[in-house]
Amino acid sequence: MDNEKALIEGCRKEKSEAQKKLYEAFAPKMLVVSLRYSKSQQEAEDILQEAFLKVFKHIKDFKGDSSLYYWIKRIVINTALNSQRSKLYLFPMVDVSSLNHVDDTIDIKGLAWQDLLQMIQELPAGCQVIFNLFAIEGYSHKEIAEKLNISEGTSKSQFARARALMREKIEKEERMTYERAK
Amino acid sequence: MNAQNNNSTNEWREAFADAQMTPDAHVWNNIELELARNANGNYKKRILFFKLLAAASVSLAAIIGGTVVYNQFTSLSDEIAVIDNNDDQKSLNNAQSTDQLSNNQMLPSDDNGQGVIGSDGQSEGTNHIADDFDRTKSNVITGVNPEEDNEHNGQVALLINDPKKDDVNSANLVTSKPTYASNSIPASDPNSLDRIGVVAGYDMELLDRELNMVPRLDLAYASNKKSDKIWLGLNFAMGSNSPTGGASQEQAQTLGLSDASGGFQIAEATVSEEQQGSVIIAGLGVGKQLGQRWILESGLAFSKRNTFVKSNLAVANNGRVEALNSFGEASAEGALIFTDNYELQNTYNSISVPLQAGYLIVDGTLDLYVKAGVVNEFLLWNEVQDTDGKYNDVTVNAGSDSPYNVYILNGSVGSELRYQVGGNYHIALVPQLQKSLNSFLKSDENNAGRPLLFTVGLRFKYQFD
Repeated sequence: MDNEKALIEGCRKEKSEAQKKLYEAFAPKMLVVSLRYSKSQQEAEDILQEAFLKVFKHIKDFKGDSSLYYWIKRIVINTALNSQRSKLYLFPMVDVSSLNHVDDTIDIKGLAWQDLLQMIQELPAGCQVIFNLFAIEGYSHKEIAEKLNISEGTSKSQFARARALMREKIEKEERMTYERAK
Repeated sequence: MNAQNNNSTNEWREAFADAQMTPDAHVWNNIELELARNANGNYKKRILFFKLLAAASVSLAAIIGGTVVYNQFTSLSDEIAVIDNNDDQKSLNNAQSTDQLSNNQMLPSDDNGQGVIGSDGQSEGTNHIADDFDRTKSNVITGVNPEEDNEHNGQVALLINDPKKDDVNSANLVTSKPTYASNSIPASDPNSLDRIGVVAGYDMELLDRELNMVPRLDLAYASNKKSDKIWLGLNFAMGSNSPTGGASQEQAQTLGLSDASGGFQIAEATVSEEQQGSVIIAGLGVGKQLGQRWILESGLAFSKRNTFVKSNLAVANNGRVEALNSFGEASAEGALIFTDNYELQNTYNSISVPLQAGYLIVDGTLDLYVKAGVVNEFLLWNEVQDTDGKYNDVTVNAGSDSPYNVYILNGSVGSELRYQVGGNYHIALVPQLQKSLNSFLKSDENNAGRPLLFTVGLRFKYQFD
């Protein structure tokens, strides 16, 4: 904790050594976050780069209300959303009223995060963003709707579509694993 | 359902809880470069402040100079009006428009028909002015004889017009005690003065109010200055070097190329145009005063100006990797590869011979000149250095192997604020803008690569007697 405070203080004074240490401490986890919101390594690294520049620029405003990790993560997610915004075309994809009755269970046990990441990256852009925000970041559909300036129904339908696609991918993966085992 | 949903999302969260992947090294390199550029941006803002300050000082100098020149001409017009219309009461009032004369008393002409301004010797210094309003007769303004009344500010004599010639240049200086004439105005040959009047103080000094009475006195003083002064000086200047005279641009295109490890990569290739750097100039100067207000300067100076180029492209050349200095080189090279971002500093070393004319617009404790001219610049060599030191430095001598022209003609404008520190020594502050009139690059057909320099110089001068 003291170490983190010293890092923050160093970054506030624009000391390059502190900036590098902070980057090295958080960049590996943040790269995975940005990978979840992008389609390629290059795109994710661009997001990461832009996000860390914002971190260093605005670290003077960090008051310590939340942990530094979540503060940086929020910047990474917002940067990713901004970079995706022009590509997103979000519209209701299925009947919203039927969403609450679908089977929600997706068994992901036994799957490595790299496999899951690949599946997420293969989702359509809109589904990918909403799946990340709802399933992994823990935002509610209402919060997502406000964040992306879409209706709650659109968020729900996009998530339902994402979940269906994910289930298909996971079942396909399981079948392949089963066949390989046979 | 909600509980089921929460369980499902928790699983996803946990799956990624400890996930991490080390980013490629170039990400940090880019961040570091961008941070450095932002820091450089702050420097540029400071430079901009000084540019604006210099522009403001030149504007102020122009306004002050204009006012001074205007006042000189209008004062001269007033005096001429007095001479040409000395039978006009209004003109006489013009001549009286000083504090000294405001308390004067008008008297009729004396028996000789001469107008008289003088003390009656009994009125405790109050002067009386008499004018016969007769154009055919001389006007004489006399003061108290200092030998008779030392408590009066012994105005000895004034003007006056030769009625026979009836023009300004024919005005004679009439003094009852020529030895009391001002130091700055030779009394030995008063007829040589092309001025219409002098009020010489009894104590050999001119008072402000008396200066106001004689608006052309400063011209007389200036004419007494030597006009053949020569000086030598040491010049130092620092500033910014904008390679294209404006904002640099980054050229980018998506290419499919090999990377440094031999793999294939599709990525955005960027080679920035030269970006703003700094300039340092040191040299010797020589100058000569051509007239009361004109000067001519020249000298010899050595300058180092640098620019920066950023890229993620390099040339693979028989197992060696060579950096690219320009996008032109990138398009000319066949074996390009992607690398981490790198930054090159290109330093141009040259000697220059300036030739500038200057005009003195403020002549006072601080002299202010505005100057313009040309600077003949001869490139000696340029050095290309990787700021991170990953690539070897390259030095290219000017000539056929160099992509840069040997001779560059620059136009320059600026100002000089000069202060005499004592004796023959002066110190001067010299803000200056210098724009190349021909391109640095041989290949630049559009003549677009014409750098703009902004420098603030410090000069130490020795002026010969």
